[in-house]
Amino acid sequence: MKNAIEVNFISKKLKNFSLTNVSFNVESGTIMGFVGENGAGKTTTIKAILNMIKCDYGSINIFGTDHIKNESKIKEDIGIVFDEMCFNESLNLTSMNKIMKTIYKQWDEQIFKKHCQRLELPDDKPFKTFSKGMKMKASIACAMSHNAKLLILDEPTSGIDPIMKTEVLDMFQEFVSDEEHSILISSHITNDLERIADAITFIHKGQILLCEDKLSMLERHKLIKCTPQALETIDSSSIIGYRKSKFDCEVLVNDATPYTTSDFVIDQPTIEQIMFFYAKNFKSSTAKV
Amino acid sequence: MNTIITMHFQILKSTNYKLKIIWAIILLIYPFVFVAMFSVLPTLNTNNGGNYRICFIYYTYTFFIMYLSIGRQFFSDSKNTFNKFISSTPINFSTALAGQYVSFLIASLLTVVYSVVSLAVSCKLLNISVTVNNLMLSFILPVSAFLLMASIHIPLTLKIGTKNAYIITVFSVSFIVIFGFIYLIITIKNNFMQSRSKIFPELLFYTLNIFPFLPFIIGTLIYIISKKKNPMIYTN
Repeated sequence: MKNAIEVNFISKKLKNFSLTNVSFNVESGTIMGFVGENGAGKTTTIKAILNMIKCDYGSINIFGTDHIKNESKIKEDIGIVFDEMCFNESLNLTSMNKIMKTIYKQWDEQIFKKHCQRLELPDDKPFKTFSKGMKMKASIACAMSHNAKLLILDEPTSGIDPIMKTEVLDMFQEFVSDEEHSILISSHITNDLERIADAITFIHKGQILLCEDKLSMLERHKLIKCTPQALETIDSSSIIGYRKSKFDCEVLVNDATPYTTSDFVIDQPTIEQIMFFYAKNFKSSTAKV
Repeated sequence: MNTIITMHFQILKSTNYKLKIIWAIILLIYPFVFVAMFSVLPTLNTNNGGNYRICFIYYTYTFFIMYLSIGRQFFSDSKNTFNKFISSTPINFSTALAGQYVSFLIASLLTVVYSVVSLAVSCKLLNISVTVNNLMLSFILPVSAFLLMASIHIPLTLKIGTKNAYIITVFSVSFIVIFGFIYLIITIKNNFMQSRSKIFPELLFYTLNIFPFLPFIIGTLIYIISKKKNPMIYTN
């Protein structure tokens, strides 16, 4: 399977933050969920992919070619939604349609109007009268109307109401229904990703802690609930992280097969729980260093 | 002046279109009121120095208001949106930057035409004699200062490399220094021919007239220094 995005060991040192050896691939025809807490490096990585910041080390390929050398050509095939709308607030959707027509060779007015109708957006009102959710929806409509092969979305569902969010997520799933289209979606709202993502990349403090197919990731990890005494019997090499109280413990392990006795209750963790224990483990391991 | 600036931005941000229209009308008729106001001052009416002053102050404030109305709108508001928008599209950044410059120049040209016409009409109506030569001479320094501010603002607010930003800034500073110098030389030469005693008061007068620009120039310099210390701001 071809990769839509290949991020190879990129590093970038900023004032109070650095990306360190960030690597992951987004396969064509899939949705990659890019998760991490606030300030983990999601937006910085996206900016690096879009050549908004230059990396100190590493390389990025989009559709198999260097993202800087072929930037204009590549961006014809990418739809981008930033965490906040980047259109001039005095414009409206009608004027955006006119502007976008001159920018993208493959801009499709009919698809744009269809998306606007589906997302219930008024085409004559200036963006400054829009709510945050409406602005995000307008950005999404624009990003999906020039027959892009790849969508790069930074927190696209933030501010959108639950009913419309379902509609938006459906649109994303429809977008990747063939093998040609892919999405990189950054979010810390893991419920959305749990629903639509095919793979998950977890970034924490500028480092990739986990990059895996979603189903195998959920299958591999188990959440064990036990007493503090029983915790001592779990093989430490299989423990990713744990949360301990006076009477009980929650332990995330990557192999739960030996723990089938009545001392252990085995649960399926959510992406949010997996993220939490990985981050907790990272924190304690760096503290030891 | 601060009150006017604050009020100006409050009105620009407001969604009250009636208020915006009233404010636009005030901005449009203010040049006529301005000239009328200065024409009644005894020291600023018919003599040649007075004409210079009228033209100079007029242009200074016209461009100051123009800067507030157009320049700030163009460049400051686009800081967060323009970079991201361009980065998300196939448009080459230099092309976009050139586009911004062209839009800005067109807007400037329209304002200049309005300034010259309104000043000429006002002077004609009030029977003040202003020669074409005076009009043009008084024009140079405020225009240079305005271009300087705009030129500094463009690289600072748009995503271009630190090196390029400084090249543009140096170019702009050279521009104002050269034209300002030519302007002063011509002024001094003209005044020498009339009366030696007028030179220093005139120079002082023109120097003081740069003050409306000083907050912007100082602010911009502080901004440049802070950028130099932390060039990451460009990429963030």
